Amino acid sequence: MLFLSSQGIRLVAVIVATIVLLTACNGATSEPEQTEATPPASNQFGFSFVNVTEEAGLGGFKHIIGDYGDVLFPESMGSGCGFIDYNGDGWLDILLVGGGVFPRSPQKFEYALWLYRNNGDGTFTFVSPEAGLVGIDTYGLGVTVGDYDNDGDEDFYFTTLYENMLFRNDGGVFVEVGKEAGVAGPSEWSASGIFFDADRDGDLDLFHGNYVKWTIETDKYCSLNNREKGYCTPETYEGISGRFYVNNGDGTFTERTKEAGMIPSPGKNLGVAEFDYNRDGWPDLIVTNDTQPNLLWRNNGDGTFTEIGALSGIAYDEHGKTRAGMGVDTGVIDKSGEESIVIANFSREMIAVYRYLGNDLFQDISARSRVGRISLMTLTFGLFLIDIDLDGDLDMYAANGHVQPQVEETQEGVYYAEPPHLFLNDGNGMFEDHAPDIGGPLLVPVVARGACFGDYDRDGDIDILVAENDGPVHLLRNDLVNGNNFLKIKTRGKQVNRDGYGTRIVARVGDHVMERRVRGGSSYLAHSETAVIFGLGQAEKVDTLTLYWLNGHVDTFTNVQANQELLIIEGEEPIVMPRNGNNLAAN
Amino acid sequence: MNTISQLRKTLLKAVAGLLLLGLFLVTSGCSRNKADYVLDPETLQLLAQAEDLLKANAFTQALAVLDSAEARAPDAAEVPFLRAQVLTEVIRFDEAEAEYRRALKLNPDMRGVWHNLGNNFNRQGKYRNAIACFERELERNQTAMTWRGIGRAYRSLGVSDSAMFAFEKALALDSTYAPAMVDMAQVLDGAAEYERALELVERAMRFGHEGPEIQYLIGSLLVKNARFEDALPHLFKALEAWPWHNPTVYNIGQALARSGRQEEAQQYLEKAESLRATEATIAEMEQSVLISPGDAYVRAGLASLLRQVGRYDEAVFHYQVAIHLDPENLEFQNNVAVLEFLRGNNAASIHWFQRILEKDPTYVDVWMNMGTVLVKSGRPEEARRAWHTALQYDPDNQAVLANLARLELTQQGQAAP
Repeated sequence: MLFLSSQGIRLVAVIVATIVLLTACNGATSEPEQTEATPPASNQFGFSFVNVTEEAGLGGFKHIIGDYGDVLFPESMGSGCGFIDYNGDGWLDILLVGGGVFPRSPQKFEYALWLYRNNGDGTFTFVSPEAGLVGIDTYGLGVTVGDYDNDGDEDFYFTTLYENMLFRNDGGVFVEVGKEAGVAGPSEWSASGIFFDADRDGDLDLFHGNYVKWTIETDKYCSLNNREKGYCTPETYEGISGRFYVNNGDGTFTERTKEAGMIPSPGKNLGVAEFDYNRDGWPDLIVTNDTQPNLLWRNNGDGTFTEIGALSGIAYDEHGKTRAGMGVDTGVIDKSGEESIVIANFSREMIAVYRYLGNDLFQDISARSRVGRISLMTLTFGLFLIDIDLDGDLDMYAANGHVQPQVEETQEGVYYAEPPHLFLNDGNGMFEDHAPDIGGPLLVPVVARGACFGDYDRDGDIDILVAENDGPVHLLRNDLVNGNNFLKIKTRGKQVNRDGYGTRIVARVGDHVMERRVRGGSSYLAHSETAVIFGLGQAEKVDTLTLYWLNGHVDTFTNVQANQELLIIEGEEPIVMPRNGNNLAAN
Repeated sequence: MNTISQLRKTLLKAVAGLLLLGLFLVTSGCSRNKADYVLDPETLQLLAQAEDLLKANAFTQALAVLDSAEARAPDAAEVPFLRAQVLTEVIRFDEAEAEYRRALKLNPDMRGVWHNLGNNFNRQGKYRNAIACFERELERNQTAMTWRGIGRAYRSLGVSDSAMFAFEKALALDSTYAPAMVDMAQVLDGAAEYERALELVERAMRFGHEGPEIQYLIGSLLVKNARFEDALPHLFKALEAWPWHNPTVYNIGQALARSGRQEEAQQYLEKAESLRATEATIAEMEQSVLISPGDAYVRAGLASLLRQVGRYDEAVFHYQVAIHLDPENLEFQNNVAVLEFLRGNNAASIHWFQRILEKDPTYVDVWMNMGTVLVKSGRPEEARRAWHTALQYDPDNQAVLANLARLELTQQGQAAP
């Protein structure tokens, strides 16, 4: 038994008093609460998320940054992810970018690309070897999917720190054809890519962004705290313009960046999305740039584009300042019927929301939409608009995570790992972040980068996939219990490109009008399911479904029943896709 | 020997000691003892001199004078208080904090110390520490300024509701306090409450605050409210005072674009982008200064950038800090002299040149620059002498020769009937 001497007792008393005194008048600093992921409970929103990464069989994946202590700039940028139906069985497979290693790194790097085949039962099987995705020596960044050769299977373009790669799908086995197709490009730091039919000639053209001029030898020293090296910001490097390739229709492409009017441009591109903001039938591009003005490439319809970012009001914030410009998406988010653009930005920068006004002008509605203030302190990479609760309007998912591991030492209120935002739309383009209320994995701070969405379990609601920097992937299954109905549309072109990219689909339910677009790109380095899902609320049918194909052809259908997946081939009646009856909406 | 009884007595003594210690702490450690210190006239004079030197950005001299004041009055809290202000200006925050705490030790009730500490923490991005210090200040002294400090700290933390509360408290104390109105308007702006923001800024104007910051704020709020024609006069007023201000130029461009004046808009937007790129470089350099506050060349680099865009006052300040860090650097001093001339302070400019030449009479560029300023000051003969002196050290200096030739022509032209 411990026995204190009388002196010892007095000493203890003094120590206790001293501790009390020292803690008396200090300012409090608080740290973010790390909340353990709790099993989701039913809530007022009628849906919840479950992180099913392990049970789905994706637990073996880890993104590698290949660091060895030199704190090289690319290590902070993360990688993307994608949903792809590589074997054409109607189930979404998952494609993950493994990152890379630098020459001096001791890390083991197994696969640049991790392809997981969907087994149709909620699980996936790793199939990179049998799919031909082995022996790829690169530092990978993003993926974008498209049937560029119109042969009926999904190909993909892989952006890297060096030469990019084009993987042609030959019946479920991929062959790398970047050089022979003319889209490998020089060795340069590329970012997001997108397939889109720029000239409406029936095949998919390609644009990819480029970031900065960087090599290991030219990596610069920057520090947040003047003690240790940190990751530089892109201001310290020179930007590289993106590249635009026109599909020749024979499996090859021709670069037309200059001819299209796309250079000079400041570079430092990170995100790209396709839309037709002015409804002239020609696909336009929004390109987000990091610390440079964002670009709005208006398609002139003659093989050229005109850049109108600054004039249109989307290049900067309201004070003429550039922002970080990462993930991007577009969609009709309110009853105006006009397109809006959402852009992910840095910490202490709001997520940008711009709504089209007409006459090539956009209005900054970030603050008005109530997205701005909530998103001010977080750093967002992956970002997209989806109808997460199937109530008929587009909500917004923001995948967050900072780039500087030491940020918490130098910036109060800003954190390295951050939970996501899930902004629910009230139907009028006003958003509230309900991630804290919905809980579950939406409460868990991660260092997110690429993020994409897709109905991988074909239950009619939209699931989410998030890639972490130097970390695992997270598959968040949406368990919708609010009884809302859906309609899923997959397109197939005959005259237009086979994927039907660029098709605008409008669904009317009573007075309610919804619009979606079939396309690739969006978010950050990622590719989402290209079939569109309309949330119908309690409606049991769509009164009118209209497809505006890129070649001007219009298909209209009436009284389309809810809760089905339809394949709509250009000019033909919809085909109901067979689904597993056990996977219907109610869970 | 009764061990248990002894133990009980010891325990009781310890508890009593603890209670007494606690009582002592409550009554003395956090109490508000006033310092009974009266400053003698010479010390007061030294303090006044140090304040003047601080206002003139003569940091080294200010610190030297304060050392003299401290030698005379080692227990005067005013000395470390003022020293802390000097150290703050040259971004020696840790030392400044130590001086403020010394001041508090000498005079725990001294007003302004906690407030200034709060400001220092704000500048370092340590917002919660800043709030704690401001709250300490409020315990002694309720001022609108301190509440505003709290508001700004909360705003930087992204806690808008608390920021608004603090700004409202500031205005409750002083309903004419325009800085709080502006800050509050900016928070409301961020929440898209443009009408309320406009009301506040217009209120600030009614109290006579019509400077470029207010003009810009009104103009940008009007642009957001789609009142483009109303916005333009305010924005142009801001532009007159701040020709380098890219947000103003950008908003003019947007207002013009949305008024259908596309060509003019394009010109302003291109100019805005050019200014933005420079401002981004300036922001980077400001960050470098924070990271390396003791590096004179980083400071001078920032000063040079500011000069390029016409922000002369700020450029002078940063050069003066650079001089404090590197007092023997005559190039920095030459730059200050030139800037004083650009600001229209010819006498101050000449004074700087003369001081440089006392240290290095062979500095040709300085002789040349001084000559130019002397001519503009209506002192052509002194200018001529300065240029001839320059030629003694550099006989083939074309710029000096050209200046002399021009002066001759001018004087001949004046002399001709």
